[in-house]
Amino acid sequence: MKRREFLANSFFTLAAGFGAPSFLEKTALAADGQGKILVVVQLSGGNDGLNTLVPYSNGAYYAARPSIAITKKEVLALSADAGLHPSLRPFLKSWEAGQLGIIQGVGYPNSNRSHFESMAIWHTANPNATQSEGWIGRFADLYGDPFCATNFGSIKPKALESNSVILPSISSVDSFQLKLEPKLDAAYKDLLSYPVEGYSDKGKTDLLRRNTLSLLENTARVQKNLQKYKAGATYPKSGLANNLRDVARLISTDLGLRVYYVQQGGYDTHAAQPEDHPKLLADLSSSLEAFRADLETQGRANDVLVLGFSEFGRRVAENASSGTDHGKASIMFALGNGVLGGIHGTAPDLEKLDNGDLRFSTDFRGVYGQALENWLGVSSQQVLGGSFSSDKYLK
Amino acid sequence: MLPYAPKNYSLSDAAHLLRRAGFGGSSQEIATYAKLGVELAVERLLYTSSDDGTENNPFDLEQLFLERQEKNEGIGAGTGLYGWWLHKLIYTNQPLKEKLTLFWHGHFATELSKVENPFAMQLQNQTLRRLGLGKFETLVQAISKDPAMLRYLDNNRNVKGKPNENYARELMELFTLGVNGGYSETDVQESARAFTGWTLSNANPQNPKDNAKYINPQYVFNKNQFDTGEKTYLGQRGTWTGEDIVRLAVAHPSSAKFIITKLWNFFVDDAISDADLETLTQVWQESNGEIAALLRRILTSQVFYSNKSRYALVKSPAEYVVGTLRRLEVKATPEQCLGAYSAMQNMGQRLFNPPNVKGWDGGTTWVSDSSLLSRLNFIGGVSQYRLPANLQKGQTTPAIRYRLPQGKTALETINALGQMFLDAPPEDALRRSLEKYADSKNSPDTVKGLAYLILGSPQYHLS
Repeated sequence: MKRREFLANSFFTLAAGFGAPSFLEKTALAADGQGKILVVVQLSGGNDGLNTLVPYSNGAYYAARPSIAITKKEVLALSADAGLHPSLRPFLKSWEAGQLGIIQGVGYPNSNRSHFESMAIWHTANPNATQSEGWIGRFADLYGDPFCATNFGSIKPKALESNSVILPSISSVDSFQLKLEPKLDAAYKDLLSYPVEGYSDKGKTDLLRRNTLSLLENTARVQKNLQKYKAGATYPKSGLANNLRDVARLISTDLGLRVYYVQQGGYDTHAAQPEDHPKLLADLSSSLEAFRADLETQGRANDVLVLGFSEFGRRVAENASSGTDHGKASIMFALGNGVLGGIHGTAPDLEKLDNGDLRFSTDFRGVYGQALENWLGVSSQQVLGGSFSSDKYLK
Repeated sequence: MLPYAPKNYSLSDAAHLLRRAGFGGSSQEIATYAKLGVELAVERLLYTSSDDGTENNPFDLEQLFLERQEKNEGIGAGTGLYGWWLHKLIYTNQPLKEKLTLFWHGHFATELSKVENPFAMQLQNQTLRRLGLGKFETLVQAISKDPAMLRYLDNNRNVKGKPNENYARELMELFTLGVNGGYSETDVQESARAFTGWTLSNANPQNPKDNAKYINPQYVFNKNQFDTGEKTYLGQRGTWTGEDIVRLAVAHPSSAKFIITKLWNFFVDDAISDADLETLTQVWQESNGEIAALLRRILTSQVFYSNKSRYALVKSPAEYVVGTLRRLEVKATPEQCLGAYSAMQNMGQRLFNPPNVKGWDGGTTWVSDSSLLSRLNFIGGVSQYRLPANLQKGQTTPAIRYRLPQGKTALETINALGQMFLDAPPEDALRRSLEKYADSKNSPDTVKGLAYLILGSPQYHLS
């Protein structure tokens, strides 16, 4: 669907009137990154960065982790100092093609070791996170389109909370439809067109009414435009892979979505890390490599940037249950044809720790900033409320 | 906090109480509670016994487990457990007890997918139900030694030397003081030492010789792995044990505040006033942290019955699904109990498998495209006499065992449906939309359509 056509169809933005600037005012803003798509992959639970990008020539690493370290023999060496966890073998294809960038030492000042506080900081891109809006939500405010970014899953993360629009959340593309017989459909839309009277919490009745209306609009939009799609790669069997296949399907349909948000959980490896962590990384890398191959088949590989993060890394020293406790700095990764392949940022110093944790050298907002500015083509200053830098990881 | 003292405790008051302290009442239940008056209505809800009306629960975990073991089909973890709780939720005659169990399940969130023992999860659920109204410390002591929790937060693998911090941290951050409750990283590390040596009986579910141990998991104290040294915790120095840590954490002033606020947000509305918090903190101190005392005070207060608090909460999927079935007085079959579980899962609430140790954030986070769509699919089925049911191969759809109310005229039908689902006849714009749709017709199809519109209205999502 063309944007103009969407504008005409959208009873949502026009009727609801949140004071959001119109598309016309915003087109200039968006012109740079037209057609470019960002896929955010959230690794929930605190991914162990040190066992993801392994400092395999560092004696301090092996001293701190007698039972869970990745041995030199196992590691997939990327440089003289760092290599990938063996379960990330599928990523080697992208690495060799110069399309995998790993950013090390990523974090933020006064790192919080609570999952939920730290995740909120990553979601809002604000280390003093008190606001309700997320960074993707603010991108949507600026972009002005209620269908510019979507979550996959039943509960929408704070990253997609916006003050001006209600961003969608899709469990699966096939089930994202609602069929009512025409008379009932008309009556339902009629009912939803009036504000609720007599209930005290107007904020909630409005949210429910508006979100139901936008749901009707979004399902109709997806189903009407869904084109024939045949997966261009064999995906593994996992929740993450299912979501990524749906993302590829929507990208091939070109609905104008600019940001997709997917999640993979289970990274809170306090115990039995050698059993659990490899499975997660194998799922992650094989799902994403399938996704990349699929995009190649759909002819959209040049348009998609994948950006992966976790709320924190883990303690350098292992605990006595073959696991690691909550830590601080970790890695992020970027995957795509537009990525500057290589290891970016500064390797964390394993001997100058912050209360047993890695110190950060790159603020994650710098990494977000590059994706916003140089990929999505919006002002990162406006989304992040400040200027942050990071090593260049995009071409 | 003034007590609520109406001249006449109305049907609407009792309906509000049953929405909050239960899952919404049928018209008969509402009438019964209204007649009791505010204090006795609340006492009746607070009264609990083992005779909760669900003795004929058809889900027998042990039988399911043994059958599957014999056929080498794996643990078959969830099915029996899910159906067992859903049956209780749908059929209980002590709705507050189940509502509170749901609250505590979200508070002491534990995931079956990691625990991998449905018996341990069932035991935890029973502990929450048994102790949920009692003293908070008793509950936290029990949960700290609860086998499912020990396994979930790795406290079963906590040994001296290099302690595992997982439980120690979440005990303060999520279970007692709250994240900004005034503890430090040192408190996390010191208290982790006090929990060393805590573990549980191990059993292999594949080995029939282990069955007794697997079915009855137990807390075990491994003295040799306990760190007997001194620890400084929340400003106090001593050779603390795990039990001491729990006691000190619960006694910290932040804990009363954190739990009272969380109860308030679950039962009343999004914001507790300073004055109400102060009053309830006093109740906490006088009752030694008794949950029943807090709920008694809250549920009989003027503020609880005020207009501001009515319909101020977004129903959780459990309230939405179970509430719909209870209002319709559906005689749910086992397949429909499991269908209800799946419906809630699609809406974002998978009982026994919360998203993480923080449980469900609740409130407006229940609202998104995907969750609303799942709600509309559910009520679409309900209004067409199609309840979700998890049918095995060859099973036929259970017969319809409920009726949508139908009056003599379209207007009567609208009122009856409104009464059943919204606890009041529809008014204002909603009423106009419904009357327009009915167009004075009162055919079975019109009734179904009206039911859909009422169940799909923004109002029905609110409690």
